[in-house]
Amino acid sequence: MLKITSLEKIYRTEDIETVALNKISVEVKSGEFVAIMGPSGCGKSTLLNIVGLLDDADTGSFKFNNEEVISYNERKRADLRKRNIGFVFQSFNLIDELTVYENVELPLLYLGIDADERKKRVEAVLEKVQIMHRRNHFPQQLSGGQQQRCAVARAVVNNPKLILADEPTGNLDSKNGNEVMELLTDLNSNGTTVVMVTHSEHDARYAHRIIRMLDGQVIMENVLS
Amino acid sequence: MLQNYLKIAYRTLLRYKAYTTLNVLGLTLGLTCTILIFMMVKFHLSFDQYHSKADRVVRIVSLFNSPDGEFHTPGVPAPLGDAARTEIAPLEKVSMVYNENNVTVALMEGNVPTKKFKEDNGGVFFVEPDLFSILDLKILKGNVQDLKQPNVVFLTEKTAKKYYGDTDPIGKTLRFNAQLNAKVVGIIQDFPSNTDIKGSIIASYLTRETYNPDWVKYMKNHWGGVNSATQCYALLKPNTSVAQVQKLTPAFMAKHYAKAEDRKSRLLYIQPLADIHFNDNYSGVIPKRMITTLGIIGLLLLITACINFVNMATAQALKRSKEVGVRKVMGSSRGQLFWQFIAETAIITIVAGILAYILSSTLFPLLSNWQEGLIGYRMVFAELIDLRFWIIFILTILLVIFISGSYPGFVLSGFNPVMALKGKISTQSLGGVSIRKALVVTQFVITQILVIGTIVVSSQMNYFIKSEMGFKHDAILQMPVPQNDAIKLSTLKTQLKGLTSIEKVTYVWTPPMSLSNNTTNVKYDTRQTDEKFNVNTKFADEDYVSLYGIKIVAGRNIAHIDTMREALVNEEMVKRLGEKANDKVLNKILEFNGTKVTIVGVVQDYHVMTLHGKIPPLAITSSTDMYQTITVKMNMADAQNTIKKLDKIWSATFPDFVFEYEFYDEAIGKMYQMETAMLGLIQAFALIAILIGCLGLYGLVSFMVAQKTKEVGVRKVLGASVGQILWLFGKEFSLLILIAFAIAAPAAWWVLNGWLQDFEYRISIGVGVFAVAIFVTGMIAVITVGWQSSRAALANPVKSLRTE
Repeated sequence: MLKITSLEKIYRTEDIETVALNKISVEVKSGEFVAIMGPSGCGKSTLLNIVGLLDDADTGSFKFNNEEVISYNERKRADLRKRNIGFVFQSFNLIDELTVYENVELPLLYLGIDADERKKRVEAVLEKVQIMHRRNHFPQQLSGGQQQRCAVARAVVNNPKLILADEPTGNLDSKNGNEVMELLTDLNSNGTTVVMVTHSEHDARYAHRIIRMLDGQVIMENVLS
Repeated sequence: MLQNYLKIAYRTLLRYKAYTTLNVLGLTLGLTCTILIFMMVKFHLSFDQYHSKADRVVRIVSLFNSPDGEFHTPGVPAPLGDAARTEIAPLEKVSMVYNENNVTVALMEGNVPTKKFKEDNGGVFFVEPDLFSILDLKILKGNVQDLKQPNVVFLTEKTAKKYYGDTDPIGKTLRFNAQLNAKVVGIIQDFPSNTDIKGSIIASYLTRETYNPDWVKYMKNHWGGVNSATQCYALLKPNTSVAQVQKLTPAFMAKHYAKAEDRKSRLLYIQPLADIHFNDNYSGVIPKRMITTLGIIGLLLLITACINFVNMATAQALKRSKEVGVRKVMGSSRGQLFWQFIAETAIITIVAGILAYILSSTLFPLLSNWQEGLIGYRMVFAELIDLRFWIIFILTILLVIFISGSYPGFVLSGFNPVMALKGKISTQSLGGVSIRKALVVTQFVITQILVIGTIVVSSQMNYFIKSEMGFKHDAILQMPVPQNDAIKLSTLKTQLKGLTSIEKVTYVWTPPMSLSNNTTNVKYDTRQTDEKFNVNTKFADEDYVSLYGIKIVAGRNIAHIDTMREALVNEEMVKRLGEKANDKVLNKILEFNGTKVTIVGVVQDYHVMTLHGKIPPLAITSSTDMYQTITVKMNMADAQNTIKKLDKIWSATFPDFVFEYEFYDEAIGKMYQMETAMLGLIQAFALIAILIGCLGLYGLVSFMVAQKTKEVGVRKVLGASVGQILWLFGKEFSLLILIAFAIAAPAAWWVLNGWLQDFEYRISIGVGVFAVAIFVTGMIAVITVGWQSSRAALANPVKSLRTE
């Protein structure tokens, strides 16, 4: 599904060059659950942002479903993103001015789906993540766990082929963290590819494969049984 | 999607109440002022444009060329109407008109007056029937042909109602100034408020002959004299241009003026109807430059409000970065985000627009009353609302939305989603400070120009009012002289002099400085031809010079004589006559209007016209027939009581008339009403522009403080004092103020110096004015920036660092 070859990303200031990704090559197959681990500053989030088409690489190749997307312009990236990728962040990133229902509905609005269909899909996904009863609440009225479940619901509401999760349990206690990981596993078992950045060995064990990074390079891969 | 935009816009605005309030308030203020100014400009531009043949209507006015410049008057020689009608072919219709204000109108029952009214607003308008073909004057009752007879009048609906209530006024008799009876033969529709050509009573032009026999004797068939109230309107034939008619006037004048110098100095100007309201050479009420000034101020206010909006919205952008990031991640395109922010701007602008409409319709009557008090025109808000207003209003709202919303929209939608989600949007990401700095500089420039403008206009006004006019004007009260009966006048003067609170009494045609002036050509001594300049003539008795404190510098005062025999002239006249010393003119003969008088004295120059004009050559002579005003110098200790006594004596002398009085100081103030009006408007709108600017600055400083929270914390931890922290913010604004000043000062000087050139006597723009401007803007910045930045400076550094 994802094929990254010799990808390089360098952050430049006037005096300093920081190599975030150093000719990295990674492949993720459709239906896989991959965890990316490594110390802070190793480039794992940068990799995730490039995979999510939120950031550019300097050189290298990135194929999404066999299509080279590295040279896509902003409009094409936005289009590909909204049709194929769901995001889950450590800090939830819900829009404070929208209710749970409206936050989850947002990706469908950008896809231009009609109101009836939207209602059906949003309600279904809210049922699935068990926050239907909080549908009219605003994010700040929810617990951390509920907020992350809402964020997961938002990520999956448009049935994306790929979910990118950036430390999804980082701000949660273990009970809520486990619930979110169960949700991701459940989605993966239904065919959604999941790529997750994490510091937690516990969370990483939910994945099929762990990619370990250091200084912008892959230093090890572990396949879990 | 739009619903989602509006929903989030609504909730965001509710959430950031202070931001929303400041923005709505700033825009509302800006838009309110813009609407008020627009309405005022629209009202004045609409003057007399409602006449169906407005583009073909002209007024023929006079222009005198003399070595000291041009002299303009809307008046024409009395015989011009009849001559133009037959001799200037492109004129389809011609009507002479004459407007007489301050007429006492008595309603007659048989030969007994029952009620008296003073008609001073528009007064009695003597017209020829052809005026009804030139202008759209709607007759409700009666026949226009009746105006071919003398001593007949039409009343406006309002006047008819005022005089007779619901009774039919047709056939009733009115008496003007206790001397002429006229019959009411018709009613015409009331004049709208946006016309300069009007009267409360429309009298037939022939009535003027019986009303004023002296006019028949001296003026009717004379091409020499011009009275500014005797005017001529004409309708051009279709497809004739004003220029075509203008070309015919020299030949026309040549026919009626035998002397070469008259032909050279006397010109006619064909004035289009659209020019009448604005041409102050010909008594136009409001000069075009004032309309332009108002329009520019309106525009500046709107720009200030927009800049304010952009500054605040961009500053606010930081708080929206996460939302932008999330939306981008969810697949929003830049265009979709842009339109989302435009939708938010639209909500604020539309709310501000609605509030501004309500506020302006509420404030408009105040503006109208104020204008009516100054220049006598009432504006009605509802009458000015038409399709054109709505089109311009909606276009302005759209323009404001686009101008104010597009920059913040552009900046916000351009955020990098990764940086936005991490909360790492920096000042640079907000389009750099440079654009916003430029906007702040623009706001400072506008503020400084308005401050400098206000100071200069105020100083010029004060200079007018307080400068030495060359005569005394305090504690002087003036009353009209409705009848020039020599015995009555003499008795009245004796009675008034008998009052202990009255120090001096004099009869005058008009006081020393007046808007009514009479000019004529003169012959001096034994010279065979008229002098090349016109002389301003004043009619007054022997007490004139002492009452007004005018100094006699050579010879003696005029004696107590009822007719024109002796004259005083001013020093300017002596110079113009080419005499080397004042006493050279003494006992010489001066001939004007066919009458010879002896110059017995020379008075020191004093201002005859407002300080707009130069001091002209002047002759003062006595003539009981010409006195229109009785003036008293009174002791102000018991003024009310004295006025009561004056009323009693005056009313006993003129029982058929209504007593009225005016203090001369007030009358002088009225001569500067246009400047007062302009000053008031500039002051009010400048203040509002400054206020809006303050709101914008406040928003910007809040943003800067938020941006520098960490920097302030670090600096404080490292030992920076409060003063040093304040200077961190202050230095940036000091530089912006200086840059603004470098732009505003020369621009303001250029504009205002041009404005001052209109005044013969004027102030010079000193360095002090500019110092005040920079000080005022500095203070504004200190107050707005100071409060916010001192909060930052006094904050606990631990807290600010933790925030980061």
